[in-house]
Amino acid sequence: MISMPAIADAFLKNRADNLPPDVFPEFIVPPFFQHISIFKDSKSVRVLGGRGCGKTMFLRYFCHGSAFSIKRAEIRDDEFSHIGLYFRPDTGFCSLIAPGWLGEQTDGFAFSHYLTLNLLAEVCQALRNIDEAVNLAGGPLRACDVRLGGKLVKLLQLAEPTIDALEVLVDERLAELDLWVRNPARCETPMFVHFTTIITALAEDLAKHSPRLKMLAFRVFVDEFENLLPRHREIVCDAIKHPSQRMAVHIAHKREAVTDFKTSGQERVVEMHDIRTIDIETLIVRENDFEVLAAELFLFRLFQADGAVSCAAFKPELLHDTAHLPYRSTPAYRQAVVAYVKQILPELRAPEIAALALKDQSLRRRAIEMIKKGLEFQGLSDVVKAENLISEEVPEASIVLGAVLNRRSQSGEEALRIFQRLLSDGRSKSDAFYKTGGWVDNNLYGCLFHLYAGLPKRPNILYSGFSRFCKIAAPNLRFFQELCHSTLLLAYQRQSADDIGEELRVDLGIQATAALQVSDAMFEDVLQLGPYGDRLLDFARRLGSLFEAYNRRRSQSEPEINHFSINRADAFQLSAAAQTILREAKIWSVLWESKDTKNKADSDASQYELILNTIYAPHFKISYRKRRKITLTAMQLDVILIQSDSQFETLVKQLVDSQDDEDTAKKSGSLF
Amino acid sequence: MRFIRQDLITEQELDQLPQMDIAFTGIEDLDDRSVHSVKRSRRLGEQCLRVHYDPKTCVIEVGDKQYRANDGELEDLSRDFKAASILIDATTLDFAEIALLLHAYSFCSKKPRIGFLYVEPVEYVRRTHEDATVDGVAFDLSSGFAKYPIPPFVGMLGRKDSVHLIAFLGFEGGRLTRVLNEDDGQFVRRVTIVFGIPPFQATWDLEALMANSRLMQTSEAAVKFCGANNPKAAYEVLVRAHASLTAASECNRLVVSPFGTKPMAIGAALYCATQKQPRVWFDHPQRKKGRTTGVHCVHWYEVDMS
Repeated sequence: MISMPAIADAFLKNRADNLPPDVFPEFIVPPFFQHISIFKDSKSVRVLGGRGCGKTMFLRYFCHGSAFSIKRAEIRDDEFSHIGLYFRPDTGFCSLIAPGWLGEQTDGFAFSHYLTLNLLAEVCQALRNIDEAVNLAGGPLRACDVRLGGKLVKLLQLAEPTIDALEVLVDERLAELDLWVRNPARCETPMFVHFTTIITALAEDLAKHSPRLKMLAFRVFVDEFENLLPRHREIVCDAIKHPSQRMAVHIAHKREAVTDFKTSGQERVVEMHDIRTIDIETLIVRENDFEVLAAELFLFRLFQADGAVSCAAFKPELLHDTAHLPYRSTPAYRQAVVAYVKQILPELRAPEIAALALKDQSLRRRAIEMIKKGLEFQGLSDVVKAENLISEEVPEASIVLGAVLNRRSQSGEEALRIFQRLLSDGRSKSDAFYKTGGWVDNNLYGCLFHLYAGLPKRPNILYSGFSRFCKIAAPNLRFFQELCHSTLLLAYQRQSADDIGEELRVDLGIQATAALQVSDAMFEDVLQLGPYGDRLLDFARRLGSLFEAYNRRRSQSEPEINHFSINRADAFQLSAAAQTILREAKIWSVLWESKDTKNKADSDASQYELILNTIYAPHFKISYRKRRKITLTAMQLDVILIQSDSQFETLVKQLVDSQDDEDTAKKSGSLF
Repeated sequence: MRFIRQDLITEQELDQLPQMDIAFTGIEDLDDRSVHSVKRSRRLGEQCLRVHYDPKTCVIEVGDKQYRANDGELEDLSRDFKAASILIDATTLDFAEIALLLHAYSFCSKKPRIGFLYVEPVEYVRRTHEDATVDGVAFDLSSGFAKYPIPPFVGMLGRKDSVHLIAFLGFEGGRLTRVLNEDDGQFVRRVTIVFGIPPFQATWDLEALMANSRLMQTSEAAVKFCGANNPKAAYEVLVRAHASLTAASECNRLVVSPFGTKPMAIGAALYCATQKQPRVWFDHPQRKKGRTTGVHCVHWYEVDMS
């Protein structure tokens, strides 16, 4: 008997690993396809996106494997006007295609040759896919029967003008190139060809082959553009700068990873004029889109694992084709799928968590301790007992009172008076605690994070819930799936959908534990991010511990600090070494740059903000909400980025006014 | 390929070894054991030559001569330094240098007898951080990595290729995950990780396991073991893996990542130089000065490449 897979494993397929050329049955068309023109015109596009945002899958969706998928219901002939060819270089091999090894200029010819041969192989495969496509709206088409024209035969020295002969030739030429590149002096130099000539000629031949192919054009997708050598990038940029009717070239790379788009000549590829940008990570989080997409992904994975999905609106067969986006964009549909997943991964609001906290003996003790320290700080220890300032009637106020009392700027007597009035008169819309923008609004989350941070063994349910998972993971679907995988694994171990037998619902504590596990694991993974992984890890650890130190302050005068801003002009003063690490941090999304201007009248264009990726928030026990920041000078940032541990330690002491830090002396040793 | 001997060897036994025609050595003043190893190598070789490979320029320097790492010039190397027997100081030479030297001498019609000297340290230096919260960063061994190809071992991978990656692992976590992360599903379909067990010294195997724990949690890699000081076992792991690549198997290409102990790297280098030149993914660690302390014991390996 074949046992069914564990439900948790449905979320293991979260890497681009082993992506087949046909991703159609796996790809969920994101809502933003409706808002922007995606490869509709022939202008080149640059696809931006970090690791784990689904960039490669996105490209694959537009290539021939998916476009002519046998799973696709109806394939219209206009697909022939933009046949996608996928190219991802063998970077190790390409790094030998360099002037130092092959000689000036030869390297450029050799790379073009390499690219051409790879694209030819892709075209051959595309034609085979067209031949085998069963759902062409215009009926079957024998594309492989094309007779290749004299130009191609001559340029490539083809034995016969057929696709079969072309395929054989491509393999031979690749083998020849492989040998020559490793032994340029010993082997005869290959006869180089260039893709702009060859692919265009091939397109012309195909256009003549059948009236249905008259408008035929190729679009080439160069994935991992950043991993190409500068000279190789120039060659790709040449083709972007000078597009042709029959071939457009698109590129994909990580954010910040490429800044110069120079061509072989003096020109540069210019945004807007030569190329448009599709920034997947920005587009994917528009409005509520990420939540909806994540909910659909969650349900699709359940569906794939034969799990029960009793959400009538959700129709898995409508996820893969852009044609069904109008249905999936209706507010009713969006609400339905999100609401359904929220039942599986429920959450509590902060006031509810505050009430629960007071029922939890350890958390309650911490809340009392906080108030007690505050009363001492204010010289009010004799006036009232801390225990008497905890009230189940106003749990939120009881919890934030501790922070308020620990503030130098706040008169303790006044705070006590307001609190006691609250106890006697009940909450109102005008009291300092509950009014809009009052103490509870501003401090409840921060105080709860502070209380939980002191009890590292206690799962912090502020991280639990579907929409919180989305906030922690966004825009990274890989992170989201990791969260789901760990959550379901903890909740249901190795059980399959059949074993479980009922609808899923995961307890808050389990979700919180899973969030911490994933956060810890993703933090460890920083080590493997690029050539400076170990430096990045140090940097992330320092930044995280700085925010952790802020969160340890009893006063919570600036609660929920999890990002910083720096003066743009100032940032230029960072040393080269520091700038490298900072840039790497952005390339690998350890940090997010934000052009935050929202709701700040005094927002300063010369400042920019950098946010520690929220996936690390549970690891550092800090808030995932973007609320408050600190401003760093270049000097301070430099210390965090590259200076010694002891210098960093000194900086933390300087920055975090530790007077109200709980047991400063005890903690400072283990902070690093 | 014949393995003649692999033994722990005493100072007296070292003195009794027959002289080798040429001894190739690397950087002498890296740590205690490198000083010791170069000193002993010098005594064993009629002639002693310093070897250095620059991965950036793909040039290998032998004494005052330079060769680009292509078959033609490597063949010249073996002709210029004709020898019936060579000693390779594996303590101070890295994988790339060892593999290139072996590859060079594989062009000789009469292949020399080859001896490897390897000196174990008493201790590897730990990171000074009080709190290395992440496994795999407990040691402070290298100041940087650079993923340059070694030309003879960079056979092109194409769209039809799927790779079985065999990675030998050591103390530095992250080296393999970085490789896998860069590949990100492009070629690798199967991963076998090889740990050095039994280790040089008790508990060192645990350090290697710890350094790579995250990898084992997340990937479906097969795990194999071969002695940390056993080049022959490492060589055989690769021979067997290569034999299992058939038309029917999931993978058609072998890639080797020699991130493990030096004796494992010797085994991998012997395989690379004498077999069908597999693809190598290597990151050329820049060894830190004073990365180990003390001189523990000395290994002597001898092979016949013909």
